Amino acid sequence: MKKYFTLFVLFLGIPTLLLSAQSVALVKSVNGEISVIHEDKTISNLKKGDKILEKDTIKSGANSSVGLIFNDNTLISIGSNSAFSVDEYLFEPAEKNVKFKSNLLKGTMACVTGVISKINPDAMEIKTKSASIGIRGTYFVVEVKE
Amino acid sequence: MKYSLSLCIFVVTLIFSGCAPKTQITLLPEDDGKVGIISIANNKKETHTIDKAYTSLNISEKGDIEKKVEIEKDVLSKYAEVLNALPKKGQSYLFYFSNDSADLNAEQILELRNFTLLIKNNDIIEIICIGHSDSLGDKEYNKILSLKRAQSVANVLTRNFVDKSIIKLEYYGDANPLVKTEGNKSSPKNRRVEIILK
Repeated sequence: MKKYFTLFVLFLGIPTLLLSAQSVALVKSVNGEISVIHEDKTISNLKKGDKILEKDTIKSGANSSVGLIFNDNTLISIGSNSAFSVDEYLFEPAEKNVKFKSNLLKGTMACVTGVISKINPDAMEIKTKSASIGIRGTYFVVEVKE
Repeated sequence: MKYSLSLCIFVVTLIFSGCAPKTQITLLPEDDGKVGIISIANNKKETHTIDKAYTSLNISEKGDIEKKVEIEKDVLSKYAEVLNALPKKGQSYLFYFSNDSADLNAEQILELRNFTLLIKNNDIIEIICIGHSDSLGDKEYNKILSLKRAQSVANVLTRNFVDKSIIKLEYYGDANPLVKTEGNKSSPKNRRVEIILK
């Protein structure tokens, strides 16, 4: 009976895993120490070629930076001593369903916008402690000073 | 001793209360000189907008917004680390096909072989091969045909030692034409595979 229960749990688990494992970006370059904290609080070090998921928080150490390419070709880099989270990411271009909400908790980030803000100029928003930034394109840098 | 310690704490508190967390956003020009638009809303729902290169918006912890004109050189040196880490845009290339065919000609195969060098030298981490067809013929048949086209491009790459795990195949049939045509039309420009290198 226990065996069947495990099987049942596995069957339930697989589709949810597949759903939640939807990658939203690829890590193109890593300099120094970069870690990622997933939604379930597990932490791992990021390396080139790794995938970023929705709800991930990326943290960088001193003299460290990371370059990301999102599915819609939005490019984002994060500088030293920074923390950046991908809160919501939706890219279904055929249905024109797009959304990109992120949060720069501290540090610096640079960005070149991609297809999402072309499809819907109101779809992209970056939050910080003191502001909410509406991005209608295209190339900019943000700094959160402590 | 106690006196100097409390003085020290007092000074540190003073310094930190003076630099409460602050957000600065600076707009930069794209390679072709184009500049986007950015708006900021603070907690009081006041909105400010910038649309010129090297202008910035500064928001204090209290939510006061200040617009500034920055000096190009200073912005580029201040943010050099994060700007240098920004990846380049994915490059896209097209390969065309004959009517009802998923075969590449000798010239295209050679071109794809040279491509493998480009892939290795540019640290490419993902290759997307997207197959397309024109609108002549059956829609379902065209979907399969567009997949076969994407596969033949991917096959040349893997035969030339490109890591299979970084290749992604997509196919659209005639749903995503490069040139708009009326239904059921032969169109050489739409019979294509687009490769995107990331």
